[in-house]
Amino acid sequence: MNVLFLIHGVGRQSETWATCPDGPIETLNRAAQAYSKFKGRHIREFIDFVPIRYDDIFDRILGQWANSAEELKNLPALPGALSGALQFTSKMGDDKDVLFTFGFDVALYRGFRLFGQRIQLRVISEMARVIAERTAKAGGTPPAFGVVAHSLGTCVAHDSIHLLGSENWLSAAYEAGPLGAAEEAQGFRKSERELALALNTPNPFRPGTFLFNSIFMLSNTSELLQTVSPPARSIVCPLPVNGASAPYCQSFYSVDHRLDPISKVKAFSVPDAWKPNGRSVIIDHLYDPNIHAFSHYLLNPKVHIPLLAKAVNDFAPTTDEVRIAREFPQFGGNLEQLMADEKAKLSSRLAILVEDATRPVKDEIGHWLEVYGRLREIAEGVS
Amino acid sequence: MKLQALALGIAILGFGMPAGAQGSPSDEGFIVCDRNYSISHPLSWENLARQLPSPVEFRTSAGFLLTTLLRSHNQSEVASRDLFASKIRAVLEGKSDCCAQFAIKKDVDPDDFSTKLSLFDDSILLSSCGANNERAPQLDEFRYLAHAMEILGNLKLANNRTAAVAAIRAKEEEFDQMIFHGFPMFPWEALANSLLLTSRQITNGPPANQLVFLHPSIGAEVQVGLRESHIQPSLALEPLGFIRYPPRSKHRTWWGLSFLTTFRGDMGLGLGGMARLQNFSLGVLWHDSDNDGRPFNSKPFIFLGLDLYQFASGSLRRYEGLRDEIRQTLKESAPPGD
Repeated sequence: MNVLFLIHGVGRQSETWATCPDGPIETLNRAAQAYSKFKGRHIREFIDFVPIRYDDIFDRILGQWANSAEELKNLPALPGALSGALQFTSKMGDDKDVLFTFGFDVALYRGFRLFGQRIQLRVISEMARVIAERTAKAGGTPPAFGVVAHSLGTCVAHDSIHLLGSENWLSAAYEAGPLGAAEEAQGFRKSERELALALNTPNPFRPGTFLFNSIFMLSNTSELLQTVSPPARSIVCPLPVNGASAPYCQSFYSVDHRLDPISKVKAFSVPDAWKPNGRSVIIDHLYDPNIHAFSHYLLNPKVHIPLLAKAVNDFAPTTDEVRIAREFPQFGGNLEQLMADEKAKLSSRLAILVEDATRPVKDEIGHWLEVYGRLREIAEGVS
Repeated sequence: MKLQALALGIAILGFGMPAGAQGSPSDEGFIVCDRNYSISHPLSWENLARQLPSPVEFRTSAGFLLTTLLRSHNQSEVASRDLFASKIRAVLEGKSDCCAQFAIKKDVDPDDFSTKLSLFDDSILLSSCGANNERAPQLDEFRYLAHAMEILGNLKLANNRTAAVAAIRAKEEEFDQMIFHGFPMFPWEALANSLLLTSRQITNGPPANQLVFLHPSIGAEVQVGLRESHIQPSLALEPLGFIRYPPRSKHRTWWGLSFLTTFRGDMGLGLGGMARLQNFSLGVLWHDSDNDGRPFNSKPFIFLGLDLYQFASGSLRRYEGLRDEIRQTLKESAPPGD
């Protein structure tokens, strides 16, 4: 069974963020019921989902700050500015929901390298563990590994995947000495190990030895928020780079909703050189006030059909299913009952916000946070 | 080993790929020219593993696959066969890495939803089965050979991947140790340390040194020469200092030095320095006790960070109780109007 890593975006998540009724797995499952291959069965019978959560690290950091500040904040001898800072810091524990609402996690990821790297290691560690486990088993069709990331998660995914494939994770281990008895039990001759050591390429997840079969970036923020390499120059692309024998992903889909302003601040554009394996997918359906939501993106057949077809080797939609998919209505779901003028008003407000998002500004991160806040207001206003 | 390989080779050359290979239990693998994956196919890994020399050795096995490919009667279209063969040779000759290039690609068009299978970035189209499906045996054989090469590559790297996973996990733990269990940082300190001391290279791990910057804490002061009854609670602020995590300590132990200022309700600003080992801190400072505008001509004070005071006092007070006592005393000793 193929593996699909899921990486969430901005905001506080629960432990069940991926499996809850409105989460991406159940949304994908409902969408899959339209296709005879999956009808009557749960999508988990076909795809090995691996949700990766990282917002709990932000939670822990804010809680620690709040606790440290709590002891000191009201002491009268404190200098005024420091007292104010401690007052604010002590509230971080109680106000987490508010802080995350305004994208504080973005500030923590992007502004604090120490925390950004910790987040990246969470994603890298989980991916590496699953890849190592699944590929160690020989037999049948080798498992393929895909990634679906959303919003801030596209940036976290991009940074983490780039590091997974480009850093020398084993360099310390090689310096420490020879591998142990497990290697001998696997039956590889000493010459193989010596060859690997001599080649001085201690990353067993590098391009050429491993590749992702698909990477789906929904509401792609990697151009704006990345911390390791501009996306057009990283290894996270469907082209071989730096002399590798294969690219790091077979298929790359950058999915953008026409009215989603989040991906429009310093928008990512698929380079021409990446095509046709790199694709830009534009969608414009309106099924929920929160058009930016992970699940909302998955509703569109232009997203979930490629995703399902890449993740399930023997799935391809029938001719009838293709015809129905092409007739996917623009309005539906929670917005189907809106009056025509309300639909027009929502579209118009979103279009104005998109136009504002694309405006050139000096402080792009600040502008992104402002746009994010305004999108939430629109979504809450319609709900 | 050679007899086994010869036997398998004769079976393949003599009988080709049995048509009954299709329709056998499927692992939901790719459908190549209407054929599902079948474990009964002679080139399925399940069959190959029984025939290859044990333990599995990469070069010998890859060489066997190359020989099998070149001798197969199913390889009717020579150009494709030779292209596939060149990919295996490149690996055996050390000219290319292995074996991600053998992963079958399924292209899916998000506009018309069409799908297409291929190898080597569309160089071999596994969907071009011919008008009468006449290319099915050859293309299906490519599928099994490609899978076998991928599996060989994965097995070759299995131990390295396991080791890398452990190395990555160790890095995670080291970051956690510093961020959540090391010397605590307030937000402005975390920002300074991120900007100034955290390496861009993630494999370097968290910084071995940590900046202390406007770091507040509480403790107690006692003037040198006086008895314990003159111990006074004190609010400390380290304007600048550093923490050092020794090599090989994995951020579990640390020591540090800082400039020290203290604030007390009963006398003016204290100035001095402080040393710490783990969460224990000990400082020396001067207050202008005699109000002559020269703090350093007075007797010095010793500052004990909260943990060290608790340890030195020898009593079994709970940390929380002692902390509250100090805070309350500091509040009560504040000048009116604060």
